[in-house]
Amino acid sequence: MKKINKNKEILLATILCILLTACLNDTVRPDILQDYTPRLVVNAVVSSDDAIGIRVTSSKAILDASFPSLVTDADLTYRTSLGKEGSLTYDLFSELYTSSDKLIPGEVIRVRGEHPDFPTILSEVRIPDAIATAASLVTNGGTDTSGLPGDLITLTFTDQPGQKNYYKLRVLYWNGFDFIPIIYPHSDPSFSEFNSLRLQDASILFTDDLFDGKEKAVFTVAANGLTFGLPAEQDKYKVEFASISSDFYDYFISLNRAAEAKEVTFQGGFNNAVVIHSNIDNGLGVLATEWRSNFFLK
Amino acid sequence: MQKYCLFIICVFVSLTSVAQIVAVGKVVDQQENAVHNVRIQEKGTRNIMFSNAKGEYSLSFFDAETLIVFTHPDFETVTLKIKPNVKTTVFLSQRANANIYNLGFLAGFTDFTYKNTNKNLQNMPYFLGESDVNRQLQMLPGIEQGREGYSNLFVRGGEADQNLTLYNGTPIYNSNHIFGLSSTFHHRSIKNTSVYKGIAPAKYGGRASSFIELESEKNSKYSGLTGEFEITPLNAGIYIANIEKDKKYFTIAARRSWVDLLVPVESRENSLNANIYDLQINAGKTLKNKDKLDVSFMSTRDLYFIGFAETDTFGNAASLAGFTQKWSNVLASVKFTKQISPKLSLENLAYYSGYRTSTKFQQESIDARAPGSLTLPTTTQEDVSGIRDIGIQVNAAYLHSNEHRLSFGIQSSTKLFQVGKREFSSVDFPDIANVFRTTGSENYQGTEEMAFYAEDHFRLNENAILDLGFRQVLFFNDNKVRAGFEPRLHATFFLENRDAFKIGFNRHNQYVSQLNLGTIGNPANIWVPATQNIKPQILDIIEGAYERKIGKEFAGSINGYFKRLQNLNLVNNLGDASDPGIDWQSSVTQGTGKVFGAEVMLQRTMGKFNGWMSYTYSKSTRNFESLFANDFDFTYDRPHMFKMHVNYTNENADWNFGVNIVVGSGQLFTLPIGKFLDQNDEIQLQYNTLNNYRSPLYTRLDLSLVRLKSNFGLDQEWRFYLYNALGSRNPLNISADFEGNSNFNVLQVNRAYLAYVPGVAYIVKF
Repeated sequence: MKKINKNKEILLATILCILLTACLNDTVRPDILQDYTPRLVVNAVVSSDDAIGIRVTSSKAILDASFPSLVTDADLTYRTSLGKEGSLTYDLFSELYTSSDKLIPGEVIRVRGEHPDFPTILSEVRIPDAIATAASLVTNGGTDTSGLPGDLITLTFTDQPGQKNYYKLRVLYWNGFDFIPIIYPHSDPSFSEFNSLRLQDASILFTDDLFDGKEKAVFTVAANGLTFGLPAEQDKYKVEFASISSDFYDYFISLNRAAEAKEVTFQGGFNNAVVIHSNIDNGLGVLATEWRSNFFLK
Repeated sequence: MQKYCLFIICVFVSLTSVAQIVAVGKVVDQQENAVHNVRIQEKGTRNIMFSNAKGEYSLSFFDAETLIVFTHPDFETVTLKIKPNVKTTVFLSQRANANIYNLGFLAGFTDFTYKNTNKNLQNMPYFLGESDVNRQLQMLPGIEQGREGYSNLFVRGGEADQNLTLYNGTPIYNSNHIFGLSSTFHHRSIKNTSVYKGIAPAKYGGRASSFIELESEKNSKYSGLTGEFEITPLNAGIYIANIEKDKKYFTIAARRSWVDLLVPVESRENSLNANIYDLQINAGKTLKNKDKLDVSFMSTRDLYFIGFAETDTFGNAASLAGFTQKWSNVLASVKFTKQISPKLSLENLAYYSGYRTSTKFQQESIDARAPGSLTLPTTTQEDVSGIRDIGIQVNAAYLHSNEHRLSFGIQSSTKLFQVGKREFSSVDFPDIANVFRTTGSENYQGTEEMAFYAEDHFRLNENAILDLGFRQVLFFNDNKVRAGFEPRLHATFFLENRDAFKIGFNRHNQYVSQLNLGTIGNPANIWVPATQNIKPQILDIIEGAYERKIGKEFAGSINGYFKRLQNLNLVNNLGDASDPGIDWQSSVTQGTGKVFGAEVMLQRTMGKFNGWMSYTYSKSTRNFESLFANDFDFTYDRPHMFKMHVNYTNENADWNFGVNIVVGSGQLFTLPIGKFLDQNDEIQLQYNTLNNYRSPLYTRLDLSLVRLKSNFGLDQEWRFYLYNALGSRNPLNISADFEGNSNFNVLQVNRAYLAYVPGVAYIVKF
């Protein structure tokens, strides 16, 4: 029987080898696509109760040898629905166009950018509404994936009915020097792979698709001993929760699709050209907004 | 309404009740291939008619004692006394060195079809050793494969969903295995192939670009049991035919992939599985009065599964996930052919065709399991879409006189669409109630397509035939009726030496479309009906052709055409279109297209070396104003294309072989024009328009070598194939590559291509 199985393996391996060796690869550098108009690229997340900070870079032709660069001399102005207006000035240290004005939930901001070398850009966005949220910690209140007692961290919030809402969640623990992100478990149907998106910083983006208009509680159990030895009065966990704009969500979804299209070479690649979501007229990038609420749990 | 019905009945009765003396039957050569355009004359009179494309004739004559003369330039003249009103098969003998058309594909002389009886095409080189009718068609001028290596068909700049493939008269809605690498037909389940690339008889309708008719074996030279067993790297298949000549037949063809069976069952269930099968069963009987009953059944399925596990921060198993993709076709039909009178025959067809596709994602969350619980919290999401088509047709052929042959009929097709249903469930999560939810279309949505057609095959004189017809289509959907009138006109003029000049104009309305969700051949592509918002696709085509025999052995043809396409569909939001919870109509934009081209084809139809070569010039553009201001090239636009197929067929030799050569314009791809930084300071690509990069010259040489051998009284064949034997770099796909180029200075394009792809098949015939 062993011999038969071995022969099967050899046969299978032979067939696979024949098929795989028939699919070859090479690399070329096409010399087309010379005519290109560069555009201003906006990257910013405007949070409620925070000063405005916008990063502006320029796009480059795909055949251009240079890296997309910061644009430091653009003329950026803004006006809000509550009558605030002014210019954004470039800050060398943060490399952002900033203003000391702070926006509140529900406020609409319109940003205009001009530069002689680029088309004028325009974008109008709204800060998401504030919602009721709470977070709690029960020491050794749950069981971790190893079956040992672990700290139960629960976040509760109330979804606004009658509209589609988008959220961002991240949980971190204090290791004595810094807050380290915890990979959030699939502890809720809304966090399934096809209902949510995980970002590089361990944040998870999800929608109210499964709990529209209801109070929602999500939880995680930190692994046993994660914050062992920390004094009782020390902050042990940080919960970052935000209600985000649809542009924020769509932008990262498109980034994710683009990443997948780059990885998939059989049926993807440029044939699945993914246009990165943008809400910048005549430009690229995104002006995202969020209402944020952070909790420190001892 | 009553008067109308009475009128129809009166006309029908008058057509059928007039007793006339008629000579009916079929003209065939010594190999029983139909011979068309045979002159059939009542001797000593001007009472003349010509056999049709199927070799059928029906001559009204008035003196049963008069001889009938069968004349054709390539066959010996036959003079017979024909028994009136009894079907008579007339065999013609080929003249020495005559130029006949019964090998390979042949261009029809009286219509615009390309026909094939599969003779000698078994020697054609096939991809991975799988004999594939689509790959035969791809070698014809004007028919392209689309993506390199795929078995799809794009006819004269049309879309893949604009081809109507009929298997024994029943439409099939996905004729692809393995995401488009192979067709769903066992090669022996097809005996005759016909393709109309634009101009088509009024009987055919419902699609814009082409009509492909595939017919199974229904008769044979000899009675008896025959069959074959074959095995290729992908499949093992069997074909059995039990045919009683001119009386009845039963055939069964079946294939199944076998490589997956070598993988342990546990692996197939938990980590990886892929298998395909197809089955075709056909039976028929000639009844009393030469009436015929044919029954056909076909079933196909593809199944793919991949499973994977995720770990948490500390490497413990966090979740198990599995992705399953499945699609299947079921076709069934019953055809009853009734000879009402010597002048009138009726073909009654009832069919069912169902296509279903599903993708299922299931995730078991180990990390969310309640302490001590044995059940795993599980979320499942399954997307299902499909189409069911139930059709009834009555197609009639009536010989009014030797100058007028009428065909008319009524065709009804009830199409039921499930454009997308998503079933979501989450169960056994601690402290969370189970969720079961269905979004999208829970039930199939019904539509009705009804068509009336009539056509007069009018022989104006000995050198001119006019086909004057129309097709009136009514489409019922959304409580509305849409009407589409389709003129079907073409004329054939015979010149000196029986050269033929043809010209035609057709309109085709298409009330069903397949939304392309990323890739042609993707089984998840959704069939949708025309609606109030999404108008039916319309094609207008004008075509002219000149065909002639060249010398004793060759034949040539030149075709020129212009096509105008309206209401083409393009998905502008793949994510939304794939989401059953969102109305698909909001993700579709409509546009127009223009195609023009010329095709030159030269065939050698005699001898052991035969085949054809062709050159096509064509241009196919699209315009979708809501996406791009200007026209852009169609994805599979290939302006220049040279194709050659040669085969050496000698049943007495030990070795036969075949060669395919294809040289032409490269495939179009979409390249990024710019780059920019995203929120994570990573480079993203910027696109301006579709199909802005044409890959270099496409060249391909395919070879096949067939070893004929007889052992133990059984004919055996070893077939060896090599696809792209020169290793030409024809991109299957291209992808961006900035690796090794940390400044993202210059785009590098990685090209994947298929080269030196071997194939082998072993066949035992019995």
